[in-house]
Amino acid sequence: MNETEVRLRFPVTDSPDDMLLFQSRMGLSGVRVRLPNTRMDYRLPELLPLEPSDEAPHEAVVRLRRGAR
Amino acid sequence: MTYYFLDTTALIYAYVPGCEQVRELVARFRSAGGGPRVVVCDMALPEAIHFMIERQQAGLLDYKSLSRAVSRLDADFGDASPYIIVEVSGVVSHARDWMQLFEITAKGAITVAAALAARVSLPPDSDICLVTTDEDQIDAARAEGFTVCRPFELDPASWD
Repeated sequence: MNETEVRLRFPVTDSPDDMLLFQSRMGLSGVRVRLPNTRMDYRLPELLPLEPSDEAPHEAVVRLRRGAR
Repeated sequence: MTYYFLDTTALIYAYVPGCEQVRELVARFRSAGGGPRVVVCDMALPEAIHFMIERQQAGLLDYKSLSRAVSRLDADFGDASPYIIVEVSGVVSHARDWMQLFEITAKGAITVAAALAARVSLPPDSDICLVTTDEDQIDAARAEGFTVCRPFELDPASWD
C-alpha cells in the first residue's frame, strides 16, 4: 500500500499533523487507526457511582482478562 | 510529544473513580493541540463493557448506570471518539509471538503488540508510554525496552 492508497483508505481529518503522520505510518504497516474527532466539543464522562469494593477496578479488569470469576 | 497508550486497566479510570490522573490526561489531550496524546485499542471497548457488566452483576452498579455507561463507551469509541484508536485486527498475528515469549494473556499480548506497532510508527520527536497495571504486560513491555507506567504514576506536571 503506497501513501496515496493509505490516504484513500484512511480519510484525512483536521487532526494535528503528528497524528495524521502516525495514522499514515500505521496504515503502511497494515494497522488501521481512527483519529479523534477534534471538531466535536468534548466533556469528560460523569464518574460512575460504583459501590465500594475490596477489589479495585483495575484489579477486576485483570481478573476478567484472565478468565476468573 | 508523548503518546500515552492506555490499556483497559488504565482507561477504565476515565469512567470510574480511583485515578484522577487518567481523566486529567484525557481532558488535556482534548483541550490542547500540543499536549499529550491518548491512544487506546478498539479491544478496550468490549473489555471495559465486560467490567461494567460484572460490576452490575456483583451488585456494585445499578442497572441504569450500567446502561448509561455502555452508551457513553459506545460513543467514545464511535465517530465522536476523544481517543486515537488502534484497530487490533492488524496486530493479532503478532500477538502469538508475545504469548510464546512471555507469560501473558491473549488480550495482554494483543495490547502489547498494538503498542509495539505504535512505537514503530511514531512521528519524529515523539515517544510512547504504555500505561497499565497488568503485571504480565509490564514485564513483557519492559523486556522489549518500552517505557511503562501505572496510571497512578502519571504526572500532569510533565505534560506542560
